[in-house]
Amino acid sequence: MRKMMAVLSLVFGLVLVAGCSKPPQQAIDSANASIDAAKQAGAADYAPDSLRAVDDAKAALDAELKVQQDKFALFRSYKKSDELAADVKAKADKAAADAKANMEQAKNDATAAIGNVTTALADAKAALDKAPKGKGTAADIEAMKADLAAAEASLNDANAALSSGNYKDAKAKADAAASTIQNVMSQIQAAIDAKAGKK
Amino acid sequence: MAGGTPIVPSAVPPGSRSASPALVLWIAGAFSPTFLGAMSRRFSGFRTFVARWRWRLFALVFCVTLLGCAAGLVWPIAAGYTEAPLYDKGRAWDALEDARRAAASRWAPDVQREAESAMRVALAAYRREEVRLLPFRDFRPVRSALAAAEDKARRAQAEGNRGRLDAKARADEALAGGEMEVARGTEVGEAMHLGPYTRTLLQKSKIALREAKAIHARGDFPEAQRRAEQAAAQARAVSKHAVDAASRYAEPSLVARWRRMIDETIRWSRSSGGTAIVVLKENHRLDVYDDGRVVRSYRADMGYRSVNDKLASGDAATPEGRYRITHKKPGSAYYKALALDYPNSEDRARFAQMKRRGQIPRGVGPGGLIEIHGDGGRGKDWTRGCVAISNRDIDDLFRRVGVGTPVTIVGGDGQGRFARLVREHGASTSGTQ
Repeated sequence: MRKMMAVLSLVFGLVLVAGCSKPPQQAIDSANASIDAAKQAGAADYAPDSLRAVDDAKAALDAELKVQQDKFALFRSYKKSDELAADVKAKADKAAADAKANMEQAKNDATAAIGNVTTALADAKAALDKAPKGKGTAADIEAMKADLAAAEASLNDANAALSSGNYKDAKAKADAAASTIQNVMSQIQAAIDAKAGKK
Repeated sequence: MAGGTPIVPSAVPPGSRSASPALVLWIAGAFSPTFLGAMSRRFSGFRTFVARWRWRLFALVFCVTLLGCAAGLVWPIAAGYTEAPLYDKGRAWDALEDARRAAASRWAPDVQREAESAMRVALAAYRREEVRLLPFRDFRPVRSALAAAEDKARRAQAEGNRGRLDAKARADEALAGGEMEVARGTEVGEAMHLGPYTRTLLQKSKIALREAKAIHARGDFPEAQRRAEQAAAQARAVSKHAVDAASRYAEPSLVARWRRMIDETIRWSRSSGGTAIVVLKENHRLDVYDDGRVVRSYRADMGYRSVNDKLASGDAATPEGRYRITHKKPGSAYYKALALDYPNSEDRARFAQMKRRGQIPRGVGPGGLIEIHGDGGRGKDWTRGCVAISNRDIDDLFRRVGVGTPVTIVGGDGQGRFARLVREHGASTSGTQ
């Protein structure tokens, strides 16, 4: 009789332990931390599709947790929740990686564009200083200087956008300024060619 | 019951007026041993029946219950309530993905948020049913929830598309407006030499417009619209500045004065039979009158800020007034030149008055060395205040004029490029700040 009682107690205890399983809190916390990291990495701007996949996976996890919580304690099973939490974490990590990669790409593009425009502006200023000056060139030189001043202002705006992490705008501003500088360079070249032609 | 012992004693005498004691008696009779005995006898047959058939009855009740339970369990399955609405789920997902691809979260954020929320609710309900035991599943509410989510997603997509198209239309309109204003600013910039600030502003407007186009191409319509509007505002400011500067060319009293000066010069030429020169700044024209008739008309370039009258040295404006040729320079840095007596007494008086008013900085004089010279005919204003014609024309003019020949320089006759600029752009820029 005692043996039977012991066996029954053991079985009851096992059922109790199995029935009172708890949500995979560590996996959920880890997934949430990964989501925060992805958002901080700028996934909303630089990897919106990946972030949306994270949101969907998180919604599935929340639904699963709710389902299990609504069940009678002995029937709860968090195995699927654990899998879903791992899926959320994996997707959030991917979103963070995508955002970082895309942001780095945008940053590199903007930096390269600004670098090119900075060089072009310096070249244009130097060329303007050395441009042939003669009768009636004062007005043209004044106009070209004004054009370069506008390009320089746009370049400054591009640098400010780059510093504030707004890489797409930084590139757009730099590209827009590049065209003006190129136009000034063309005018200087035309003046040089005209002078050479006269000789 | 007919002919037997009455089951219920007739305790209530017929016609009795007082029902209450009779009722008490009736109740007492119902539970009396007589009544119970009678009842026992009456149902003894039933007891016998139950005793004889009890196992069969039990089996019957058991089977009926079992069948009822089975029917209760099988019916939802047979009716399809337990069948997971996979197709509905797929449709709802597709609708949501379509809305996402249409960037509904950007162009119709509230509706898209509703759709996302409805989808999550539906999926949670789906999962809740999914984990139930088969007979207890009921996916009918899930189907409704999925249908609602799909509807909302389709609405989000439609409104997103509409919002995007509206934003695009506004951006397109702003870009078109920006293009127009920048073209107008460029046109006035070509009609007159703009000062450094205005020229920089015009160039900034061009840069902003290019930027707006690039932003438009990447689909950020509100930002493209903002930049295009900024470009338009800058270009409008340029046009306004230019129109303000040129406005005196359309001022009736000044135009009348210029016409009077021209007429007087022509009259003098006619009456004296002499040669006179009339320079119309805004028309880029130098006319030679002989005996009151135009005998030559040359294309002339002016000072690059000739929209203004000359006030002081270094302002690059061609003076307006009545002058004379003081001497002829056959050997000039600009091929050949005819020197004028600028500043004349009238110019000096005006300069002194402006200086007194503080309108001219200290250390600045009225300027001088204003000539009609060669190296011109370039089709643009480039001199520092002189009138430049081509070398062939100066050769011709040199032969026709001499020292003392009157030279009348006026802004124009009210029909030149500045007057036209004011007429064409004056109204459109008058509202700008």
